[in-house]
Amino acid sequence: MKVLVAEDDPYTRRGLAEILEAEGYRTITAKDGREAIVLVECEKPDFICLDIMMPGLNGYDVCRAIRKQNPTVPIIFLSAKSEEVDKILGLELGADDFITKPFGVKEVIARIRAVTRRCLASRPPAPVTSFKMGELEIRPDELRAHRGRQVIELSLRDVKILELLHQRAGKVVDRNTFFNECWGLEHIPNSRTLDQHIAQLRKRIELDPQHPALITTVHGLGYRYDSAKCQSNR
Amino acid sequence: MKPKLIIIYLLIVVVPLALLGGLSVRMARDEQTMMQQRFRELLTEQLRDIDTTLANLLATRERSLQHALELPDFETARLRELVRANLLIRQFFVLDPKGKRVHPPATGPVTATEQDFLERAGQIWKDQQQFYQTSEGASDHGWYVWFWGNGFNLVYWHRNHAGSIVAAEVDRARLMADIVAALPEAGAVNGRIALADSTGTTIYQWGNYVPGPTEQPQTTLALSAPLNSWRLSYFAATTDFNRHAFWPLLTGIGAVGLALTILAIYFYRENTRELRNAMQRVSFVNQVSHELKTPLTNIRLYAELLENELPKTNRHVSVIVAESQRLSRLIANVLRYARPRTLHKAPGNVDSLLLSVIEDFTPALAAKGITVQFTGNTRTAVKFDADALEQIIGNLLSNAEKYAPGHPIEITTQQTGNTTLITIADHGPGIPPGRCADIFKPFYRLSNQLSDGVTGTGIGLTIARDLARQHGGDLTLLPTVTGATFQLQLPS
Repeated sequence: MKVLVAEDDPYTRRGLAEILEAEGYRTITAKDGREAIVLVECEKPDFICLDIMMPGLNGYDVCRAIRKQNPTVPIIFLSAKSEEVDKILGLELGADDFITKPFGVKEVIARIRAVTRRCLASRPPAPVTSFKMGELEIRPDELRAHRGRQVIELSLRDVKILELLHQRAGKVVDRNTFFNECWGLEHIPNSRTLDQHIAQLRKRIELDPQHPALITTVHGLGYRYDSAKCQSNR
Repeated sequence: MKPKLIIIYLLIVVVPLALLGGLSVRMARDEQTMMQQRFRELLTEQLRDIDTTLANLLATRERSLQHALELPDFETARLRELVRANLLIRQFFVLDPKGKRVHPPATGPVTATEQDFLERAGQIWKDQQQFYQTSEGASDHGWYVWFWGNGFNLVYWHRNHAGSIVAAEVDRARLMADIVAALPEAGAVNGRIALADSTGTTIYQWGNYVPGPTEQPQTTLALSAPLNSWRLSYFAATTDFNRHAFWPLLTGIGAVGLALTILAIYFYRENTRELRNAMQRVSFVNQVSHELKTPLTNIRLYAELLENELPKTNRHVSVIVAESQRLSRLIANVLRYARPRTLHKAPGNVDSLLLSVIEDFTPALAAKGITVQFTGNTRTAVKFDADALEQIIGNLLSNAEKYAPGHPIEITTQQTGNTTLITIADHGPGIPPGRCADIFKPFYRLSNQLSDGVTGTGIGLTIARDLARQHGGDLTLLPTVTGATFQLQLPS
């Protein structure tokens, strides 16, 4: 999924892009309103994070311009203006959500996931929507995994990793494949990034993260999902 | 200017002054009426004096006529001689006891003046009964007045011991001259006194005041008998006294009103200027708070990103995260206090929101040696504004962090009937019993001493309770033996 971040403050822009990329999105950034409109036209992002107070063309005007071209693309407003009228104006212009500054990483992630779920739900249904890994049922369109009554929140990247492992069940998935399939070509992460991500994911989906059953490490090569091993563990 | 201020101005300045003015004018008018009445009484007194003078004059005439009428016989020649000699008497007439006329002679020749008299006094012979009845005086003497021709005629009569009536007609011109001579000097009168006869014709007037053609007299008095059909009228100038009496009064009240109005305008302008300054300060605080948000966003964002990347043992980053969260809450409180807004309630799970707030607070609380024990018992979704609820719980936890370090906090939720109760209990020093009501007041702090080392703005609990009440619930301090226990009620 491709996300446009339009924000004039360079640090906030870069920080948001990092969070989004860590979540598994491809990001493009605009430093003002005019650039944002041009990028929406050329790149056709899946959704847009839009700051309100920007030099030149403010977020409201950008939102109006985008809505003329594309009435459905989800827009999240980011703003230091937290007054009721600002929020109402933003939402009336057709924004999907409103995040007020100062925001935390968790809040941004939670709201972006919510918007992504709405995006996925409105798309035409894919042939396979959910799959099982052991007791874990992964629902990609919900960005969630279920184990019995337990619900686990997942990022877009988590879903991609699990899908890849599930497709190649029993086989080793090497680091390059992970990067190509889950990170995208233009992004060149180091090997630590992958290991850290897998460690974080195991914490959430494994019953015992110290002795992982779903994602096993193949030293020197990569990772593997072994459906037979999961069955035997039961 | 606001309508409220105009109403206050009207109530405080205009209405009392108008009442005062109205009352004063009324009092002055009453006083003037009284003075006029006294003035009229004074004038009437003067007229009465004149009447007394005239009555005395007539009494003198009566005595001299009485003397003149005591005649030994009624011989025609003698009577004619007497008329010629006495200037006061115009004509005599005599009736015998049977009512028969003796003089002017009924038989024999009469003079021209006697003939005139007989015509003039014809009605006396016609109805003698009426002559006695309408006469003024005792049964054996009196004055008789009648009108004939162009004026009034006056007769004094007397019944002698033999029963005959002897009467003398008074010479009118002579009487008028006497009356005029008896009247006071013209210079002694400030107004104008007019003497009018029975037909209303002014026969004599004096005094240096000239009344208007339609002017009514100040007072009128009828003369004593026998001239009781005559009227004395007193004209005097009192109208200018009417017109100018109110001026000093109204000028005084107007001056007071003007002074109060100038004072009111002065205070209004001072007040608006102070208000404008205060507004500017508030708007400055708002502006600064907004401006603080951008760098704060970056500090918080990057600290949180760093926290995810670094090993958990690194406590330094969590301090930055906790402090940036605290700064976020402070800014939110300042903005909320400066400009309250309405809530946007949506159904949600109270427990999960509480868990996320507690998670945010855990590093900061842990640094102060505080552990949180959460017991969530909500079953159904509750409608609330997530930002507002987060702010309430955040403010309460922030207080516990500041005032009760080293003690555990217990947070419990439960639902009874239509109410969701969130209880937050700490085991710190608590709140002194006498000051429980004050802690919700804005800018109230239990201790303002810098040496306490506890910081804060004093608006946290005020905002928390306002938000709870905006939800239709309330925030209360429960009585406890140790520590402070706050209970938040939210309607389901």
